[in-house]
Amino acid sequence: MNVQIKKGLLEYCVLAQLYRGESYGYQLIKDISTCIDISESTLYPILKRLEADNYVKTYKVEHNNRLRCYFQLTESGKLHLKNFIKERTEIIRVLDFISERKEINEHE
Amino acid sequence: MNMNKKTFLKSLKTYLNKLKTSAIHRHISYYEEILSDMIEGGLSEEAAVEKLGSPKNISEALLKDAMPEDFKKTDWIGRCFIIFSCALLLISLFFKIKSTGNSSISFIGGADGPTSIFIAGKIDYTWLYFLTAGCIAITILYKTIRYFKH
Repeated sequence: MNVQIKKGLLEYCVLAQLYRGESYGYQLIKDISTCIDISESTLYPILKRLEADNYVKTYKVEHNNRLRCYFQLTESGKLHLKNFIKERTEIIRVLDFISERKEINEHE
Repeated sequence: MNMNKKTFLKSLKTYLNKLKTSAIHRHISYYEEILSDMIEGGLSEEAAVEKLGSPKNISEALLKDAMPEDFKKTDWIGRCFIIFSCALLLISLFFKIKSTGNSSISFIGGADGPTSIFIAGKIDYTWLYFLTAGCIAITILYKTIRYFKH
């Protein structure tokens, strides 16, 4: 997938996954990977940015003698996600516009 | 690449050394946690490390994303100390070499006139050696304190 588009979508994938319940790095990668490829190194800056924007908050939980960082959606994060979902119709309209053009060119 | 968890994290830490200790710690904690989880999930250490990619590439991406305030401030004072110490060391060596063995007399010009510009003698440069040693000692002390403070 186009890198820029993927970058934009992944952020919302993370928010959507967290909407289903709080989670931690490794689990997020496993869950999101069922739909779209995401590497550990890609997830990390996304989580940092979401936290900086206050869309997620983080807390530590002890697990097997080590600390695990859990992430939880904030109210503001939920709103951010819902606003994106509202744009679905418009996004599909744009995609249709792009594909339509492509088909016209193929026939030329 | 045959890296294990420890060498991977160590390598990553080294590549990130331009950053402040607190920033480095955050990055290392994330990767340490992810590796532990991957290993707990069944991957071998080597496989987990290989899946993450090379520490060099990871560090390049992290450094590119880093904010200016995440970087270590350049240690101007430390640099000055080091430059002074080296300069004094060189000057001391110069005079030490000059004053051991044959003293020399340097002239400028012809035999019928000008003055010698350096009269060989037992000029005592002990003060210079003490100054050099002192400067080096202060530099080492300063750098050690900085290392433990950060």
